[in-house]
Amino acid sequence: MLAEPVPIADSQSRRSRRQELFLDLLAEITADLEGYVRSLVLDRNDSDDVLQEVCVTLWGKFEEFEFGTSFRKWAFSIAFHKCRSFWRDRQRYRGVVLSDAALSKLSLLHEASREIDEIENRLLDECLKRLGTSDRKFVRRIYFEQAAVAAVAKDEGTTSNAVYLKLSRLRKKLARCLDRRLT
Amino acid sequence: MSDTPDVPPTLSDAVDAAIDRGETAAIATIDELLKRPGTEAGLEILRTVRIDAKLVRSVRDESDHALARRLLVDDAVSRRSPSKARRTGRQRLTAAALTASAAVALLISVASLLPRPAAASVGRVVAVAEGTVWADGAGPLGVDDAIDADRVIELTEGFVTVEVGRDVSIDLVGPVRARIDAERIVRLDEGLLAGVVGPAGRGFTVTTEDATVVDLGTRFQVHKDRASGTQVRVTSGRVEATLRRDDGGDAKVLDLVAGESARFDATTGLVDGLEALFDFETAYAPVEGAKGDVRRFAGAAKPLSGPVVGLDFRSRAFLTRGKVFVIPERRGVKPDGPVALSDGTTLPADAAYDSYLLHCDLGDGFDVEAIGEGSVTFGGPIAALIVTADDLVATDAAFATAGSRFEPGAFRGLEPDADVVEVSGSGEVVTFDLSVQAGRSLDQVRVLVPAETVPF
Repeated sequence: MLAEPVPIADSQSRRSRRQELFLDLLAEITADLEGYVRSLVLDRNDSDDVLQEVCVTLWGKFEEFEFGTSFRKWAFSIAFHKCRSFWRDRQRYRGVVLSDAALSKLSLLHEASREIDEIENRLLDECLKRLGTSDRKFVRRIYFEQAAVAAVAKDEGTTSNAVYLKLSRLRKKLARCLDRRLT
Repeated sequence: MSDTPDVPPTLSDAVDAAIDRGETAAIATIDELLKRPGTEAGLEILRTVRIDAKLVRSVRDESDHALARRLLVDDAVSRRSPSKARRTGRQRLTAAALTASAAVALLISVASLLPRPAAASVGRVVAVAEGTVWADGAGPLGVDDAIDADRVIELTEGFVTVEVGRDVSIDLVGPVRARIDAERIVRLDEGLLAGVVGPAGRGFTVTTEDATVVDLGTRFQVHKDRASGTQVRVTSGRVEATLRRDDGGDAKVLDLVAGESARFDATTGLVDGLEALFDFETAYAPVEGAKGDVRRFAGAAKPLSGPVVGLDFRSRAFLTRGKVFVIPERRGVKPDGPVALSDGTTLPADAAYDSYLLHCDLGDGFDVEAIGEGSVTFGGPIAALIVTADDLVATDAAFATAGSRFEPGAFRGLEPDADVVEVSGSGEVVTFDLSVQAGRSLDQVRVLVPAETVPF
């Protein structure tokens, strides 16, 4: 027997509701998902792209998601495979890869350290407030404006290596601040 | 962090190098450390990444640009769903990603309606060909100059190479007029644009009056002129090209793969998938010939602007006025036999190489002059640097372009006490600091790179 035709308006309404539901589910895990992808991809620019691909794939496969099961688990499983694909592409193009074993370990550790992550996240907010203006300006140029390191080095009258070193020291400074607050 | 005693001291450096520079060796180190028993290395990596991510979020959140970005995405989402009041900014960002190509097109159209924040750097110049003539009022740009959003680049001759986002490099070949709208978004008003886009650059978009071309990881070229509209040619990978409608919308999408061309004309509504009328190969050949597979020319290093064949490299024949020209020689050459170099290394005969000559010659009229520092970034790891006159002479026959003429004298190569040339980065960068002396005004270096390097 042929199915009853669905009026277009109803179809659109269902799609809209489905989209709303998807966005609500995604909203609950987005920050966590972003951190997870970042942990497996490492590079901050690449992880934005992988995260976007993950979101597109999640939406594309949302029909396959079984309600009543964990959306987080489903999404993270897809994210893991996207990260693995990213590294396989990297291997093809640049001959460098984080192996499946390494990715699995990072994935497990990420999951195991979720509670610590939440605590550290709050403490980091306090540490960030203590950064000086020049440090914030520097961070802003590198991280947000994505200024070329060479250009920053030129402006500051230093070398690219010195700029990378400064970034590294800044992260270590925050790590020490975190350690002090944790103890 | 390296303060933690149980963590190997190399890990902290490796994580820094991986998250800041994506360095190959660093990633290999991390991979190796993660495979070992124990969790210290993994937890340390996660902690550094979390701190870095926190820094990113902190500057993102306070930025005016973030506001503009949210406004863009708000609009994208509101068109997709009527109920948005409850959503967070993060949700909006996610919603925009739901259908990638549609969102890209939408964001472009919305972007033009919104007030822009103060100019932000969206790219940088990585090569300016010798003899390039700038027609834009903003004046010439040099290598490493930042490019602000909405910067128009107009050339009457020559070419420039610009990075407009990670893994996105474009050549603008004069005569050309283009506007760099934002990272990964370029408007081509007239002339030839060639894009080389790696995996991280997917989604790079070129708009013209006639078409929107969204890259899906590839090498492609776009030519725009008033007479024949917009023509697109894909040389590897895939792009999605869409005819623009008069009302600003898009229609008639074509998926183009390697070897395919198409022509778009918004005024007539024409989409022609037949062979392109514009001769891309001839128009782009000088740029390919001048650049080879070099990704970046910094400092004194510079490409020529035209075909490089049969040049005279003898002393005082090709003066360089303080620059170091980087000149592609033969590509895909397998030496007849093993090539023994004076530093004790031997190039195997079964490998194929692309060759480049770094050349500078100040002529007469000075005692000692520093030419300056610079660097050249190649598309793959460097196999050999040939720096002595004897080695240069010994390799001319195999690697030099046909018809080239060279100085037979013993001073072609570098002077160990005055010149410094080394390989840095992850093996793809030659940095140099050269100076020449009276009577020895010529410095040359031959660089061999394994042939068939995969782009990006």
